[in-house]
Amino acid sequence: MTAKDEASARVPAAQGTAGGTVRDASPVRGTAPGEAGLSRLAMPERQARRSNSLRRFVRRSPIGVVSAMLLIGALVVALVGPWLGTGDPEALTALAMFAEPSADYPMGGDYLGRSVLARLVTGLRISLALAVVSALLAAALGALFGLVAGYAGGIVDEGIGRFTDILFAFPTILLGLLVAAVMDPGTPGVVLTIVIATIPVFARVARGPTLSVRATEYTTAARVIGASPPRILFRYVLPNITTPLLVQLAFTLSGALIAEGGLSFLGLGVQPPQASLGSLIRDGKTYMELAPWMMLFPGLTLAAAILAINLLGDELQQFTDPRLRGR
Amino acid sequence: MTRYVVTRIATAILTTLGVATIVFVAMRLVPGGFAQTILGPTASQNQATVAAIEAKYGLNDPPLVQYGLWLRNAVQGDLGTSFRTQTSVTDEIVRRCRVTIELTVFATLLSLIVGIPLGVYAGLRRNGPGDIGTRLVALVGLSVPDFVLGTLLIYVVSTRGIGLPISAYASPGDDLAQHFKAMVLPTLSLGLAATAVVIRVIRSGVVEVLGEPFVTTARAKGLAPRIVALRHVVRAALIPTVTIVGINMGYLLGGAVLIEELFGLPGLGRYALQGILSRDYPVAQGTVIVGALLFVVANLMADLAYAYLDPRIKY
Repeated sequence: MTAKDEASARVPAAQGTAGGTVRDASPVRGTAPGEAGLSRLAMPERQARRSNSLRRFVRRSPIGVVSAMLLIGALVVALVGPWLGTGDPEALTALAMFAEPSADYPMGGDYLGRSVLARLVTGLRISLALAVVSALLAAALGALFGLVAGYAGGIVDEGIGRFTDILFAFPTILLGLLVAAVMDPGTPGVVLTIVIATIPVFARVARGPTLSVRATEYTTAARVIGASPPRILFRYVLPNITTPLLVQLAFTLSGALIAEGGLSFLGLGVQPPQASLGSLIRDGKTYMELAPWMMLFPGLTLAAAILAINLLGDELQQFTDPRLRGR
Repeated sequence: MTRYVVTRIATAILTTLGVATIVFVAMRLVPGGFAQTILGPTASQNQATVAAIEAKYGLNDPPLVQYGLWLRNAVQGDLGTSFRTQTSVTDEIVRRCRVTIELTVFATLLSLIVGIPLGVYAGLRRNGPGDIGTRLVALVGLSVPDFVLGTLLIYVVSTRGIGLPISAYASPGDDLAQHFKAMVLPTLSLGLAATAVVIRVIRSGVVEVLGEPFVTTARAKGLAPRIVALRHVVRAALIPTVTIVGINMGYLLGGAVLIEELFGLPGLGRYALQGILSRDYPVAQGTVIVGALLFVVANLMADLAYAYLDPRIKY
């Protein structure tokens, strides 16, 4: 390409028309991002496409819709928990000690006479918050590693690959033990554990598609018109690899719920008087024969939340992966 | 092939070295350090004892020297002495490893014995009612965390008066029957999720292989559907199982911590947990490294077996 071509290529890019060809060249997804000017113009169209694919998902995947609704329900309960009128999770009532489920205490009372329902609501809130925060952090960091590794290639790729291999070698709970030894048991340790354990997964998921997007013409075009590597990564590559990352995010959320539950169950996670689903099950296990509801309700809630997320992840995967259609 | 084996073993060694390094660095980040941990809040009044402890554990050497010495000992199989019991961490780990390895092997066997037939069945009857049912069961199995399942099993067994021991582990030397009975519930709790993973992988493997040209050829030459399924489809679909067994090991080793604690089994995971809770750093350090090492070795063997089994791969 001559200097003149390069100059003329740069002018339309600055005006925002080069995005048209970029979008047409996108092999991964229909909606590649345009340049700044174009993306404003294309907004309505893109929104329309998005709502279209949402409608298609709703039509094709009733299971996905049910699990999405379950999940949204759980998130709503977690968000508005304190205003649901389920009572104070830390209020002690002597009469409610080991009380069987009744109208006043729909899920019974615990060993200190606290309402299991109220504690379940706040526990769900904390478990989901921890899972969401750590999954998003892990996704952001892991995707960054994967993008850089896939785009830079060579020794950077090799280095990141070896590093993620090392992180991958720690079974999550063992990693949690190590973290708990260094920083005292508690919520920051849980988040750190899940993030470290999940970074390698996202790095691998992001790296593969980055390699194939890097080889496309529109990435070459962006490089030729002088876009900087960060700009290429975030404006051209990242938007085209979001689908596998989203599917992985769903599975990471359920993995994070399991990990948080396990660590809190061991007493290394959420510390009393705070409650999470895992620590509630831990308490419930102790008094299992006297008050099985203390363990049953949090246990079933945790399993149901994980099931809903896994179902949604499965359906998303089937929906977005053309190779799995009709299977 | 030789080249692949050598590189793969080399990366496994590098990974283990990296794991050991991370654990070493993490342990040096512990606030207050070893002396403070051993002596507790009185450390500041006992400067002489602090100095003695630091000298004993070589904490006054430059960090790199400490690292070198520690690594040399670890490679030679010496993981230090427990703060709490003053016994060799290596001896204790070797003793307790048996329980953990037995538990993970049982869980893996369960996952293969139940998972492979169900996965093949679901894959061959794709989208039929049997397939949908199996997939749903697998997804539920994947979604119930091992410690929740374990707790539920304990509840059911203890309230229904089923004659299985819950926290009554016996070593195989003392009472073999009791030993195996005590392993039943832990194996079930730990193995369900692994079984679900095997079902899913085998099923999608079978579905994928069914679309391969060689299956069409086998059908076209008039082989009975049963023979096509057994001789061609299942054989090819079984190969990824090797990889899955390796990856499952990671989940199983982590889950073993929870399950051993729940069922009172004297394994590696329980030792690790006790080490952490009592701030016994040599124990914590040693158990985490050995746990990661077991996982790395399992994956290494899985990858080598895969390369050996799959004739399509040429290195």
